[in-house]
Amino acid sequence: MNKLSRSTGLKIAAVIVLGLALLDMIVYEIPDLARGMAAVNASEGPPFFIVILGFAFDVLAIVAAYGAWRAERWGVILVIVISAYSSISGAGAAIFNPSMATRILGAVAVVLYLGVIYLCLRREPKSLANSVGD
Amino acid sequence: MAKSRRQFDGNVLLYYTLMVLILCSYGIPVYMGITLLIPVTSNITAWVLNTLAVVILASTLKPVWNWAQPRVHHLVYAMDDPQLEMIGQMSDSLASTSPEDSMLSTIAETIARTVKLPYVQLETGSGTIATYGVPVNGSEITRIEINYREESVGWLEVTSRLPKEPLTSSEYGLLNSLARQVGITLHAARLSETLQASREQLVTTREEERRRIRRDLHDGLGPTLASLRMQLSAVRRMVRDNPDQAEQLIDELRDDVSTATAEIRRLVYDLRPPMLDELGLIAAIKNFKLADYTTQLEVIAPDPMPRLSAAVEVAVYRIASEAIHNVVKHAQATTCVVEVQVDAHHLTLSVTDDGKHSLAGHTSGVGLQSMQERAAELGGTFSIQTVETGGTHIVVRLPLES
Repeated sequence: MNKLSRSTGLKIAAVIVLGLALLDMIVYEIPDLARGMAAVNASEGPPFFIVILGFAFDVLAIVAAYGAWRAERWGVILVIVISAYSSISGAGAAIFNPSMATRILGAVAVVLYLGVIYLCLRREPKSLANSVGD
Repeated sequence: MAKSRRQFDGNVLLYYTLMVLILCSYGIPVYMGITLLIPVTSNITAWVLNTLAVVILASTLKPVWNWAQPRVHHLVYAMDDPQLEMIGQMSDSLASTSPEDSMLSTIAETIARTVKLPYVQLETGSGTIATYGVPVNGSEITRIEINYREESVGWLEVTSRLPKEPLTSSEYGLLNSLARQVGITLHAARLSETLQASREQLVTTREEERRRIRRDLHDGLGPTLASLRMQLSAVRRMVRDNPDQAEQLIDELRDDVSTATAEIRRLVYDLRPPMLDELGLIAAIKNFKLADYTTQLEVIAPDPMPRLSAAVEVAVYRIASEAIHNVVKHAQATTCVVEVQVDAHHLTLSVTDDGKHSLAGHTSGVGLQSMQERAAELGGTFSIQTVETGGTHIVVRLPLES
């Protein structure tokens, strides 16, 4: 891990954020969007506008992942913001959600998002900074 | 007095927003995990869990803050220019180059690696070439001039990565930026070489001078004094028995002492003209003995003359004497004006005559090279022009120590 360059770390962070955003979209938002507003509002889950907000948030996460992959400053900052919010909401899901699978996923997401924040803020190791980029 | 309004800095807001989010993303899950995931029992009450959570957070939030704060600060405020990063990489690479390694080879390799080019070639004004890599067949060659200020110091030649694929505008801009840095580096390297060569020449000249003085003393004055000693011994033996021969020998001794004295004067003059110490620079110039009495010498100088270093005094004296000698010998002038001007940083010596033969076109044989060298040794400049009447105007500008 000490030999990991900052650009590689950012790429890993981008992949994690992208994966979690796509998972969230595929498992939760897209099925709810497909069911329609009436069905979602009638069910016990969150209201339809929350589903739309969640979907928009995941799209933003995908854009942020693209920016972080290219080591753009705006992308890194956006990934940090998204990861911070997602780790807090993931902690809530890990504690309060009735589904055990969702609680486990929430706990894993918290750990992963904290890891993403670490990778985004991680500095270039000195051993790599002294050698010319290959 | 109007109050100055502090402009809103978005970076400050962004910095603190990120810091708060990061601390919350750590603190909230930890607090919720401890207080909500650990079951409450008779021994472990909610108060205990809350206290435990607070203690853990209080002890860990500061290290988290200390870890995140400089990194977020760097993320928000650091310049994010890939050109700067690459220039920084090149500077680091050059700084780590050992004296034995070729600097040009290191520069070529660094440029190839930072811009990820297959082939880089560097040429300098002296024809030195350094290359790195192998050019791709059919690839486009780009040639960029390396300048330092307005002077060309070399050429940078690179090839693109793929055949028929030219460099992008951003890559071309990056290579131009790198070429500017390389120009500064090459100029500094050239200055360093020139300085080293000057030092070596200084040492060589000093040792040659010492050798000449030693030779003059050992081969000239030394034997003369030894001979005088032997002759004095002979005079001592003769003075009672043969006073006439002793008197004749004493006359010879007097001539030999005169010769030795003249030799000493010559040695001393070569070291430093004695009139500089006896009369001062301006008076010494005014007292030049002109071979041609039809030429009038006029000297204009500040009064009093500021104190000058020994090196500048000797240089001005010798240049003036050489110039005046040339005027008398070659110019057929009636007037020769020597003007000395001194300001805070420079001394300017000008010698102007109204002769009919200008020396501006001469390149040798009239001591012009000697005058140029004396000026250049002290970091000064030398120029020679023809005046309207046909005479010569020489200007020498020497820097003065502050």
